Amino acid sequence: MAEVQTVQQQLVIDTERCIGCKSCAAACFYSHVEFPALRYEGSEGSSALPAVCRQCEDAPCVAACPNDAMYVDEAGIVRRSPVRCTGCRCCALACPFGVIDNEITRREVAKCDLCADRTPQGLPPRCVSVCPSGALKFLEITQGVREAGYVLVSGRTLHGSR
Amino acid sequence: MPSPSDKAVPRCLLCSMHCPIGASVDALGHLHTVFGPELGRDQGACVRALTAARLVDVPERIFAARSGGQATSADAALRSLVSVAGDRGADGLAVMLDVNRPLEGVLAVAALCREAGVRLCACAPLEDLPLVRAGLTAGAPFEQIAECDFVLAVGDPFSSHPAVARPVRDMQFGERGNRLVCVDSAWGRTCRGANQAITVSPFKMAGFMSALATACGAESVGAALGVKSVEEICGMLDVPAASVASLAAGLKGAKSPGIVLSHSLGRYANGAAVAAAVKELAAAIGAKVWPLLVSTNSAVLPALKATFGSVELAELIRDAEGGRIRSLFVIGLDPLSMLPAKLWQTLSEGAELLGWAGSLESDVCGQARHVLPLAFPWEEGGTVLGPTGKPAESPAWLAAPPTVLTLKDLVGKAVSYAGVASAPAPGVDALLERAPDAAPTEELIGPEILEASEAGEGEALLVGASEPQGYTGGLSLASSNWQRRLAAEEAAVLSLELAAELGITGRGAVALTNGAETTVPCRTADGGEGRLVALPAHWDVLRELLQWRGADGAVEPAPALVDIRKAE
Repeated sequence: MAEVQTVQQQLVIDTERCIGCKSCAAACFYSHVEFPALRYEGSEGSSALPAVCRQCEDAPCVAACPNDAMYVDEAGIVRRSPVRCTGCRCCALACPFGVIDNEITRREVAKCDLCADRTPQGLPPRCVSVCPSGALKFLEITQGVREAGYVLVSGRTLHGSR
Repeated sequence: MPSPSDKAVPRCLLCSMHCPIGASVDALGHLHTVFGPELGRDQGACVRALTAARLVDVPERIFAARSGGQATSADAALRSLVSVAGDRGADGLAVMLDVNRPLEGVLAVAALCREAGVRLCACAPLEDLPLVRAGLTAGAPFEQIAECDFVLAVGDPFSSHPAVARPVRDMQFGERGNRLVCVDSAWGRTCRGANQAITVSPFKMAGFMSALATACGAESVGAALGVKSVEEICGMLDVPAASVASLAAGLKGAKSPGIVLSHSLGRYANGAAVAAAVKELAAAIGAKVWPLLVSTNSAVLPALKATFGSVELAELIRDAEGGRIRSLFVIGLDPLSMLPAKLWQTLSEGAELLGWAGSLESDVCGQARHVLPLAFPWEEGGTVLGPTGKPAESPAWLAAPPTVLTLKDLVGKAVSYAGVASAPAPGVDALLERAPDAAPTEELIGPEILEASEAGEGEALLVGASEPQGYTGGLSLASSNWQRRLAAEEAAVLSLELAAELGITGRGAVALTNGAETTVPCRTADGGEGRLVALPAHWDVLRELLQWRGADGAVEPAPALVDIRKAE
């Protein structure tokens, strides 16, 4: 049985490499039943970046949810229970980064779970897998994201086997 | 890294990068995309590859055949089609065939056409044709771009072939001093990411590249132009000789130079001359060239012509205009997502569209007597040309639905219904051996490339802007939900000079007139020079506005001079 360790992996972007092709957003769109949690912000200009949940350690969205639909799972990912969620939008209002979307007709919120069906298998999230320029990465970074030359897109301490 | 080239890897066939991509369907019928890491490759893919899998079950997918507008079986429709074609005789029938499919099926169709005496027009994406004419259809494996220390990008490869960005970025950031220089007609993603961006008028691109080749020692280019010096060429083009000299010095001083050539729809004029100049430039300085085709299979066109007498589109149109074609059978491509409506009208006006075999609903369906459901190219396994120009195995990464025909099925059944002997088709290797030599430089480069149109007040130069989500190879991706979602964000891009003159900041709308008037949403560019308006290459309206017929009658999309005004 594999030894369980704490693995700190972060979804980061090398802004110099990003070409703004929106493939990350398309991968998220398709894999989340056309309800993407990743948005591509500011498609004009070189400051365009994918925007996605930061997986906050002390997540305001979890505290704000009146239905206990938002929770932090054992891997450290901030998740949304589609059964409990009523689409009240409290989490979206509480999010300090404005990356939780509210979808009116479905009465749900779009919430990145770092592709929880892939990461436990050691596979990167879909936005990282598809990135054609190699700008998005899912890395263990020990010396600090900025020092490593990246911009944090989403980061979280994942507790899993390695 | 890019280019699974010669290995049997599930691949995207929607550009020459051949990114590894696949799909699987689970027990509940849900489609799951399989990415590079699962296929053992540390490489991504662009949105076109993602879309390829998702087209499989879009509402526009054609699953059943139709004859005279009534649903029928594929067998019955094909039998009827073959019977009518037989009654009319082979000499008035033409088959238009998409070559971006496994080549076994392409060769089988070509062999059958030859056997039956039917006119064949093998069709490739039109932006590939200039590169094919110049014989620039394959390069070294893409990962070798990263080993260069100086890369010249011509056009906007980051937009037309997003996956090439990875090795280019690896090159740029691999070692201090490595440089990416982009020469393009409009400000695009590659200009934005380059160490140096040079924007050249779309009508001067061939002249500029010829001047650069001459400055780097390619004497044949200067000889073809009938001029003696770089300064003379620059003087005739009215471009600064210093920028050519500086770029030439950079290329000549590089230890390992590389050239990435992208030619997207309407990006610049005289594409074959640009390709020929690039070829001569590369030979003069010992640079590697990576020509970026929309379809690697485009490279077989000369061999299909030599072996099977396949005619070019221009010749087919001339035959149609001359009343020599009475029936058309189009296989695998949607002419209305590839050609302007006026050209398709010319083709189809005098000839009945007897049959159309395709995968997605199109306006063409309504014109066809028989509609046959055809598999997507990635639903049929076989051989394709890899990015390095060698035959590569392309496994089917999705199963074709049972009611849908593969190209090989279609030919097999047609042979049987026609009652002709099965026509022997050569193998892919044998076909490639019969490819004739490319046209010589002096045939592709001439003094006419030094004559450039300029835009005056109230006018703009119209060019195409490739977008990663678009595809111009004769398969409409517009059915995909992601395309529809993005459609609202898409806009024409105005150069800064033009936007300032029209009084547009940020977003707005402009009316473009080139014959008929059309109004499109627009936004301003964040760099570049000149009086330019760039429209997404997959927009129908761009095809209607571009110039299409060259002086020699060739069908070659080229930028156009349009009237422009601000629209409310």
